[in-house]
Amino acid sequence: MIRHHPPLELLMEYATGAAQQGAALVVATHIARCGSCAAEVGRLEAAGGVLLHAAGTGPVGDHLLPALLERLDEPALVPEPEPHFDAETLRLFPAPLRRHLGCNLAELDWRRTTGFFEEVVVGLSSQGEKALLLKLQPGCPVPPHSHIGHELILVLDGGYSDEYGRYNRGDFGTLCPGEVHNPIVDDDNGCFCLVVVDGPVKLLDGTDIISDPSWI
Amino acid sequence: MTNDQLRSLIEAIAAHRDRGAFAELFHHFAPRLMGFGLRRGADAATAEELVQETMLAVWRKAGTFDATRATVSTWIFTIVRNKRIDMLRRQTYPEVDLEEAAEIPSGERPADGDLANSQDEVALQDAMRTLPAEQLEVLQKAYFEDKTHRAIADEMKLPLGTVKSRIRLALARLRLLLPEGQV
Ligand SMILES: [Zn+2]
Repeated sequence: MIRHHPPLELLMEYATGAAQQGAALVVATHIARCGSCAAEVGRLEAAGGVLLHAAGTGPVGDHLLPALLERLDEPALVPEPEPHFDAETLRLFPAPLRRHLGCNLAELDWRRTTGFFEEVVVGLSSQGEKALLLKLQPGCPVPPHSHIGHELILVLDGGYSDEYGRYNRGDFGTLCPGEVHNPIVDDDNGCFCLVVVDGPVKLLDGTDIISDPSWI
Repeated sequence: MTNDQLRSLIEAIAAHRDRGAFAELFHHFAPRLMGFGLRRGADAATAEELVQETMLAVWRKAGTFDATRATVSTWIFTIVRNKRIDMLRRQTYPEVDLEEAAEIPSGERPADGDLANSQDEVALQDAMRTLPAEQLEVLQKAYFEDKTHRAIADEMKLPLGTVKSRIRLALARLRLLLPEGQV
């Protein structure tokens, strides 16, 4: 049972296409496990359909349809075949994330750089957004840290608790700039999550908790 | 054209690569897609390319259209949204295919036909026409110009809270908000 969902504003940004790449990835990955958000995004996309139907029209040159008809028989670019995903990868990574990674869990290049968790960077955008997978050991306390930007957290497996509640598999946490939290990882399974940040994440003494902050 | 008419054109393309049906669909959507592209600030050549890429995807993906999940206009909106991101940002927008979402328990899946039939779409079109101008304006900026709430607030010199509340009011009026008031 999923209890924590993305805020409406973020679902709307996903539906309209305004979401940056990392935010869109984490929202899509949540939706793949959450029926209520899937339905909400469907409704928000329906508003886009109606707006398109009622939209102001632009001038369409006479050459456009014949040019298009010519192209109908062009062979479509064949997408690269998906690799064979093993059972653990299928269990942990919903389809949008698997497609984004294009590899199995075991092939990811995990690093432990700050002592609190293992991480692998899975996306960087020119807007300074960074997507990471984090693997936290059971019972590991992550020291209190604050966010200069936003942090979006999707629990892929296991769970944690913080000041805002309990987060289990599928739950979506949102931290706004300036908010501090002190997550405590579950004792039994640890916590495996997809995190997107758009600014530095700092311990209270000012050191960076996520390595190599490329936006600095 | 009604959704049922549009749907039969898509089905004709899917079933027997019907070029006549494609031309009809083009006459309906190309001017709207062109308007959509121009509104986003694209020049005419880029907007034309967006129309071409979108209509080509409609031709190629007609067999995947699922009339129980979306109306034709909604389906084409999601295609042009993704193509616009491909073209302008050179990125592939992460898509969700509910067929692959095996983890969603069947009881929690979006109901088939939820907002996907013609009657609902007509009701939604009617409700859209009754929106106050200031609410419609922010919705259009969100959907046509893919602007975040923050970007809309900055551009319109409005407090962020005002933009958020106009969007919420509009969505509530269109009955597009989660029923249980989640979030
Ligand atoms: Zn959700």
